[in-house]
Amino acid sequence: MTIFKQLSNNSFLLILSLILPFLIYISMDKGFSEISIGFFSTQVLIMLLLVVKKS
Amino acid sequence: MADILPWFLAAIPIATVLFLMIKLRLGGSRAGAAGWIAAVAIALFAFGADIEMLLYAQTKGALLTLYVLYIVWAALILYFICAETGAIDVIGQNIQRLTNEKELQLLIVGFVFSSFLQGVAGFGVPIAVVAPLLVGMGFSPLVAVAAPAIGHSWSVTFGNMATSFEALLAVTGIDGSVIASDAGLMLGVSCLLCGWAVLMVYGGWHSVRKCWGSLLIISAVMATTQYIFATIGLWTIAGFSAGIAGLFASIVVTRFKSNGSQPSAQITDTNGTAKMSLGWALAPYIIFIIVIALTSFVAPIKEFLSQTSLSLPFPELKTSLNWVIPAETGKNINLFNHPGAHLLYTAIITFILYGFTGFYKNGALKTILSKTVKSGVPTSLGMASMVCMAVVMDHSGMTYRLALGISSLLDQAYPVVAVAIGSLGAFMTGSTTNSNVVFGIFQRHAAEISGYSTAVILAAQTTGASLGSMLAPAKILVGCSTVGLAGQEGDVLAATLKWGIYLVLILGFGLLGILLIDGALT
Repeated sequence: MTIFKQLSNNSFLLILSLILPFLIYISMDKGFSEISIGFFSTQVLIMLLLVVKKS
Repeated sequence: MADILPWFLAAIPIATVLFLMIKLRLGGSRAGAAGWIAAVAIALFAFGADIEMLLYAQTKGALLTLYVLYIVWAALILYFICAETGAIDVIGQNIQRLTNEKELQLLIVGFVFSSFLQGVAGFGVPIAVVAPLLVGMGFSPLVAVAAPAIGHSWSVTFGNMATSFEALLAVTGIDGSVIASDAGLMLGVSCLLCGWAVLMVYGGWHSVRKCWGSLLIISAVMATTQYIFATIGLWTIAGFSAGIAGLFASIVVTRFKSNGSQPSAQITDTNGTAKMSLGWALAPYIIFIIVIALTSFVAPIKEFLSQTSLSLPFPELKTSLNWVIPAETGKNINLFNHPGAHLLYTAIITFILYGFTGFYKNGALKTILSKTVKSGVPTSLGMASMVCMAVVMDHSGMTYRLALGISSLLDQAYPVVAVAIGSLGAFMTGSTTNSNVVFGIFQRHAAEISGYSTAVILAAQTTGASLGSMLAPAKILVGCSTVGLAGQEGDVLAATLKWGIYLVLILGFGLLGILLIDGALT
């Protein structure tokens, strides 16, 4: 529960939301498309977390 | 049925955001995230987007988000730097001294001052700066956000160096002098309508009856000034000039109105901060105007600051339904000559100035930063998800499909549709410029097919896009974050949505009527 709380901290989620797209871009640029899909999946999880968490 | 289904699907992400924010009263971050998930799923399974497109769309969305957040965070820091000294209260109190009529105060600050700020700065700045001022003057947070959101929207096309107008000219390849006159006229009518809507939001027809003379004079002065500058080819400063003219007109109007009546002298000090004169309280805004003037009009400074920018190249992207997004560089973020940078320079100069003058208590910087983070984070989360949702919709062809659906429903009444599509684009992307870029060519083709004048339809596009900017959830989030309404953006959105739709319909049907009477329909 504590880990969930820490992970769903708004500041943490915001930083991740802004960094992940650039990690996606870099890994696409370097030809690591599987890694970029991994980053995108993390982005999807963040969005799901945002929907279910109470602000 | 085959045509209706894609249109229906394309509308789902927007409907999701609106339903969650307005009906369920969820905050922007939750509604935006839900809208993004819906957009990604529909783009992937119904619009033929592949994973590569979604990945690049996400990065483009992040660049666009950073562009906007730069302004939001800088505006928040500037606001808290001012608020910590009590400067906001002082300005509010002095406007109350100019006139004791609440409607006129709202008109001057929520309509004229926000239009002026739109003339000198871009995205979200008028709302971010004016909303807390209005709260300081005693208006409810809802009115404080809704009034500048509605009040400044008419000036977006020619405001901020007319970037939205230039974008429309760039994508359509039409000379500015062809559209400027029609756009100036439609935006002039919108000016009056926006002022009217600001008063309606506050006190309904009662407020309009009390203040209609002032509204007519001020909006006529601003609309005429903008029209003149736009039609003589100086559209880059048309919005700015209109704002200046509006401020002078407001002072003249208050002088006339205060004749015989006593403005209230009883002003209460709301937070007990050090006494500050109006000159000191206005200093940040004067500094801001000087910064904008220096960075916009002094060529050596402009060139020096424009050297460093952040942009990324993107390849051509194509869906399996043959919707193509050409290769492009994403949103260019000019690190030192960006509206956010201008606000940041102003914030730093103001902080140093107020610090030397002794307006701050010990630990003020810590308080300012912690308040900024507290307001900025939830807003930024909502903005990130909504902007990315808009990019996914645009890249997969959903936004275009949505516009196509609306236009096919009402092709005989295309001027109404043209205004509505412009608004839809601004609502979706949070930007009049983006709306003009996304729909400019579409509107040009549609005008040619429907037989209406291309200039009129493109003017309707940019006017609709200007009015639509008041509906953009991203802008509402900015305003709400500065007045403590973070998480309750749905109430404000409901108010601006209602007035935005009214204004778009009034303008669209008015235009249609004039064109039909004039025999423009071939």
